[in-house]
Amino acid sequence: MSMNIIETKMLTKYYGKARGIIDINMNVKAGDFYGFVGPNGAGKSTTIRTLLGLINPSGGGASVLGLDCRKDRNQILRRVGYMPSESRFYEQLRVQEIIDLSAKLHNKDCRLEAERLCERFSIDKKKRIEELSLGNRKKVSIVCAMQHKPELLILDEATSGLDPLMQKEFFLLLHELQKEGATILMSSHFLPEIQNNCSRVGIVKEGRLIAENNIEVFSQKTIKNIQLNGVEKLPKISGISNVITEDDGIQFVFQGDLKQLLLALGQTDLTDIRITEPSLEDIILNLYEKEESI
Amino acid sequence: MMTITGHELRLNTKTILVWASTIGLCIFVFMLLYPPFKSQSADIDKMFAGMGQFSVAFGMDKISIATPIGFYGIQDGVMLSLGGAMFAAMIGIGMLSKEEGNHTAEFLFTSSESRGSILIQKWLAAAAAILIFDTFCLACGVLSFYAIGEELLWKELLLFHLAQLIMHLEIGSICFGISAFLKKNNVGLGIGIASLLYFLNMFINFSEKLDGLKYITPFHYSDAVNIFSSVRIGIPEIAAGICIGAAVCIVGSVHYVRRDLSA
Repeated sequence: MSMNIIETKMLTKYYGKARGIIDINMNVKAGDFYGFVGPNGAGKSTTIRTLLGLINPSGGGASVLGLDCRKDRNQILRRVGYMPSESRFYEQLRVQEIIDLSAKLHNKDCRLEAERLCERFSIDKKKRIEELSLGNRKKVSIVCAMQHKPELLILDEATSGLDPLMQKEFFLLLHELQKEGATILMSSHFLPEIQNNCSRVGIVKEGRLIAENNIEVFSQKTIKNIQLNGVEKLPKISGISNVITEDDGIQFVFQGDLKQLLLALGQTDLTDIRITEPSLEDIILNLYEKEESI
Repeated sequence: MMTITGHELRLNTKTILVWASTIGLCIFVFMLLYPPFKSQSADIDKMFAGMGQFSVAFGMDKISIATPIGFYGIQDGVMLSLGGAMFAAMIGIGMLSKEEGNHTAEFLFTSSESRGSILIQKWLAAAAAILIFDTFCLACGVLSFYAIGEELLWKELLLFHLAQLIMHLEIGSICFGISAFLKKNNVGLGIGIASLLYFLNMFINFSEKLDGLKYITPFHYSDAVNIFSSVRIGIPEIAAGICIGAAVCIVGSVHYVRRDLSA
């Protein structure tokens, strides 16, 4: 059985009286590509920032790479690559200077790897940070997080701002690193990228981890968005939720036996049906409503 | 080693250059005004002597503005004291707080440097910036004496500039310590602290009852009038100043090492 690279036990953080995270028990195993999912304010960034020692937990504890995230912070950070959601740097410096500074702060000669990454992501190293778009700042952040070849990558909303081509290249790189033995923790709002890339998923709601499992288990339970035309009243069947009645039909979320639903709909005046993959919001809303343990 | 010190000096290069050249140039140019002033010095000395509390506030009752070193102490002394204090306050107050204010804290504090090491390196950067500033101003002061062809009293001048350096380091350290409690750069607060300490020194000149303030405000031990009139610097006041600067700096640093950092 592979070891836990990240392990939190009852990890709790309050900002004064405001809730950050409550009793998070999370396990990321060696070699995992772990997707950390939840809406804004759910506690993803708080969890990540606690793991990195930027903020102190109010209760519980966490270990990263087998080390205590409070006592052994510096040892951990030497082996971790972190991409923050904002990707902010010293505005007046040039890209090359930021990349060099990041390498020096990790006490490593990363020139070859930095060069390779800059070429791969078409980064103009001569530009000043203040001249860069969000997407280009993200690319600089990728180099800073990866040039020292970390064992663990912690990526907070890493793809926001990256164009689709760069996103594709970014995930290719992450899979290469995973094959080389790196473990990846990635927080995201965007379900398709989690579904397509992650091996394991944790879902956080209002500061609590409400579900954590392998991606296949989530896929088996995947719900569908269904839109019907010509139907005024839905058949009585289990698994229907979030019903919205519109002028020309009904829209709802279904989680259950699709065959049984289609048979029941055959008895109605159905004129058209559209079945689509649910958005992350649908799955989270569904999970949030049921709060079942997956 | 010292990556962050170098990085900070690089970030502050423009600020150091602008402040050092502005104050340094003012010191030089003010002294060029001495030769024409010298011819009317007897009248001007008499005029200042008759200005009562105003002369006392600026220490003109203790040294003569008619002498080159007196002119330097009163004209350039105020410029260097206030200008240098504001520069030191500005450098100190932003050193830590700007990281959170500019959202660069995550970049810096997720590197493998410990917070303690970052703090030490940042303080060293502030101290180095102040040292560069004061060295440049000293050079301008020395050159100004050569430019006007007056005798340079090395001991008085070096004691004065040494005291100024210590005062600037103290104010820089106080502001550095306070910076640890701030979440964004607050230049106004730094300049406010420097101004408050300056005015405290003026109050000492007005009333003997406020003599105890000389252990609180670093402007007293670095005052050109006191140094040029006694040709010594007040060791107890400097010791008190170093203790105050170190205490605020240490309290701030201990707090910073433990506190949560915002994104």
